[in-house]
Amino acid sequence: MGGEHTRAAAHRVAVLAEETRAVAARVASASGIRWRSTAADAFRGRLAEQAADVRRAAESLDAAAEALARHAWVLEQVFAVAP
Amino acid sequence: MSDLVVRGGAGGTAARLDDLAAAAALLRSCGGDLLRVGAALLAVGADPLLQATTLVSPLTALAADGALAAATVGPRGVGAVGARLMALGCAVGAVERLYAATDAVCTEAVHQADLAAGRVVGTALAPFTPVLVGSAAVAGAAAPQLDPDGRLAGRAGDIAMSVMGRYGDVTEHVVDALPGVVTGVLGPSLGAGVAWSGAAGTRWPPGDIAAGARLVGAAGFAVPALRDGGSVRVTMGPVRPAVPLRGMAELTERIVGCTPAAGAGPGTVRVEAVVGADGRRAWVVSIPGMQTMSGGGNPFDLAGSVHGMAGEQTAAHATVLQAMHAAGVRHGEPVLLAGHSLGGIVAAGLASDARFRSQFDVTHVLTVGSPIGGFPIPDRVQVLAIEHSDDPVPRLDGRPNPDRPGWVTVQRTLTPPASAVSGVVAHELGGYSQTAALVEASRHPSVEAWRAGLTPFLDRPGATAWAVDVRGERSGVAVAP
Repeated sequence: MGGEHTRAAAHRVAVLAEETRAVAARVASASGIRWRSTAADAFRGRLAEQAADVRRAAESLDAAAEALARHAWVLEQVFAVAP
Repeated sequence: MSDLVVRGGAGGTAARLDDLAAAAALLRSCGGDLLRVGAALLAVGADPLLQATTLVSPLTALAADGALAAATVGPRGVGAVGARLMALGCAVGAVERLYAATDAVCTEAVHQADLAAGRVVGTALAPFTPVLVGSAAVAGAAAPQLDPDGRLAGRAGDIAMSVMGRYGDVTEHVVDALPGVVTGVLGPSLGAGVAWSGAAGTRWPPGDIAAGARLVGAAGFAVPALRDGGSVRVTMGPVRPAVPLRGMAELTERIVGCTPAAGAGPGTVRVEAVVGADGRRAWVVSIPGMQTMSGGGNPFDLAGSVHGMAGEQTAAHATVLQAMHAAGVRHGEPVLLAGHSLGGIVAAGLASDARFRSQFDVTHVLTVGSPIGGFPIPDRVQVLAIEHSDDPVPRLDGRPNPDRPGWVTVQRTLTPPASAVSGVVAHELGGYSQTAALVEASRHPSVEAWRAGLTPFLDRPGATAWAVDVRGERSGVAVAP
């Protein structure tokens, strides 16, 4: 019972990780503006950093989903041998 | 081409500001999405059933809790990253709004400074007004004797055109200041100004060139050359086959074809249908410039120019309207209006007129050597204004053309410095044809984007074309056939 519920939570977090990766792609797309100047170059650099930050946030969500999946596996093993 | 200066359009400042506003909105949206992801993660972590599983496997439960906390509220978690994106989006949006507001404030400040300078000059001239008006009246009365063939007046006009063209930026400010001069001159007799503006159908004091032109046009009751009835009788020529346009540069040749110099009758506009292989039609309407100072029956005269600059519907506008009806142009079929000088004023005036647009689907306007900066042409109409910087006529709007995604202005200096007739030559269609060819070859993104929209009007496999010349005459004025 607890194993299934935890695995569902892991799946929800994995879906949220994918959504976060989509956000990273959208942030990167904002650098396609026609603005040309030194400030515009700095803005594009900042956008690239932000997109990388969002991708790292997605990776931390992957790690959380994996941790939940491991926990779910342990719970399933415990409940399988429990009387 | 290196000697072309391009403003506005898809590569202009306004388009870039639009981009910036879009980027700001995107960043705020992305930040909001990440904060929603963070809220969803918090809900997962706070789930009581999940918390209860800690009793069964404390080590893996703690590891999962720690990973969830790091992903949610850690320094690299979605919450912190989302908040930073929101902050960046808000900052970029604020910069964009500040830039746009500063631009608008600066433009208005320059206009108000011009008007104020004009009022100072007008106030200084006010005591001499009777002398100046009297001298002008005497000169006008004596002109037929002193200058019977108009040669002196023509020469003076050429010199004025050249000086104004050579100092184009100054000319623009002087023109912008003229309503202020009128206000200053009539300041001591406010009642005269109010009465004049009332007769002209505008407010007092005049705030822009359109209002000033309305005041001048109102003098038509005393000066026949400024009188424009607004109604016309049109004569339709034969419909004849035509070669579809092969490029934008040929538009100026179409305008040349409407002029008496090319054999067309006075007051002629040309309506040309381009029919695609699928039967769909697009229309090119070519409108000539001013052809005479005092036209009588010809709508393309000084009165048409003055009333056209005032934003009024003149006999020249009516000629185009009736020519399009006579040619069978229907709403929903794309229309390109192309005009030189007064023809450009007419094109811009029609494109700004909601009643005209309710009858015809104007998608493009091309003007050469026309002062159209003050016309409220809607954003969805794609405008290309070609102006020679040494041509004084496009400066007569007293302001730069708008910088916006759908309005491209291309400037070029045509004549060498110190040319004695620079202003006259720079305004002629021949020079504009050369410049149009350069614009055709330009790789500037704004020009390329404008050209890309011309496809329905251009030659392509299976396309055919026919054209008809329509001649307008002011109603009640006899014109030789």
